[in-house]
Amino acid sequence: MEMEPDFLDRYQRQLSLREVGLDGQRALRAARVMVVGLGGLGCPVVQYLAAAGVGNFVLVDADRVSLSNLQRQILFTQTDIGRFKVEVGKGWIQKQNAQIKVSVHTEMLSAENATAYLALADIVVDCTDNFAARYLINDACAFANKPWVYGSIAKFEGQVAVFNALMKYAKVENQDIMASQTSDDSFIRSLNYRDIFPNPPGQGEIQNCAEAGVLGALAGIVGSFQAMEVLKWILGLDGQLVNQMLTYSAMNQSIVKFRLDNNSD
Amino acid sequence: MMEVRLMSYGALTDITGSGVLEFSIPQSVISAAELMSLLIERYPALEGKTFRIALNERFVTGEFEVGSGDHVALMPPFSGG
Repeated sequence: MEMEPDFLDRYQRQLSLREVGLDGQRALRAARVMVVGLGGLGCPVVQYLAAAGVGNFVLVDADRVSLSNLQRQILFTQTDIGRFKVEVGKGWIQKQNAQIKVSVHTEMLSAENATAYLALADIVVDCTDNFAARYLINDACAFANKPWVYGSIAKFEGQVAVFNALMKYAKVENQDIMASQTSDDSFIRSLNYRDIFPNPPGQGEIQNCAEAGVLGALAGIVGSFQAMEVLKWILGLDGQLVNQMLTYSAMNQSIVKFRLDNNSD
Repeated sequence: MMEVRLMSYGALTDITGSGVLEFSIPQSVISAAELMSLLIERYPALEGKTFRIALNERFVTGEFEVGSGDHVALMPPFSGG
């Protein structure tokens, strides 16, 4: 895909980062990102990735915009109520940059369509609000060998992780080290959601945002963490949240990264 | 005698009532099983709930020991998006 004629000006603030530069900008332009769920997390994910120059989106969500969405799903406005979220999302993206390609799917991700949709993307972002969808994303990505960026929120806290990413595997002084994905040494997949939580919790055990409540800014923060991990993955940067789970607490503004080892099970 | 401090997250805090749980324990070290017994004794509703235990910011399973100064966290899955 050709860069837009004004791209030097448009992306000047990130082109000047050594970690991005022209090659990184081209990688962003070529990247295909699937966002499942266009709610509190999905809105900031789509907005930051589109603004950064991600060139191809696959948006999956069966829901339409409702009044109670507007408190946190800041891509939408009152005039969008009743419209499919993915249609509004596509409109927003193409207003931001008409060259970005967007495919929209007004159905829930399912075992029947997951394989076909995954074939359209390099990386998946989980912005769903239920365990059935999350485990489906996990298993479909494991099957298709695709990485996915997990995010979820509970009241004033959030979790973020990068699962099933292809990582260079090396032994250094008897320690197993996950290095960046730029070498041609042996590769393995990072751990996935089932390595932390092998099975979904019981029905009704964990409340979603509709039941438990949430402040919109938390969704913005956690969605922004997810967008940052997608950008790091596309750009091949170090420090991706692999084999660990970041937990953010808005109440005391703390972040803890919990490590997950291959041998922890 | 040992003070054990645990952090609880997400839906578990609805059960524990606080994100920070403190226990005074006569021994200097307790096992995973003893820790679970203490938790269930004080918060019976934790029994059967889905969560992972992290010891010093590392998820653990099976046998482990908690001693003075260790950080313990109880981490459930989150659902919201």
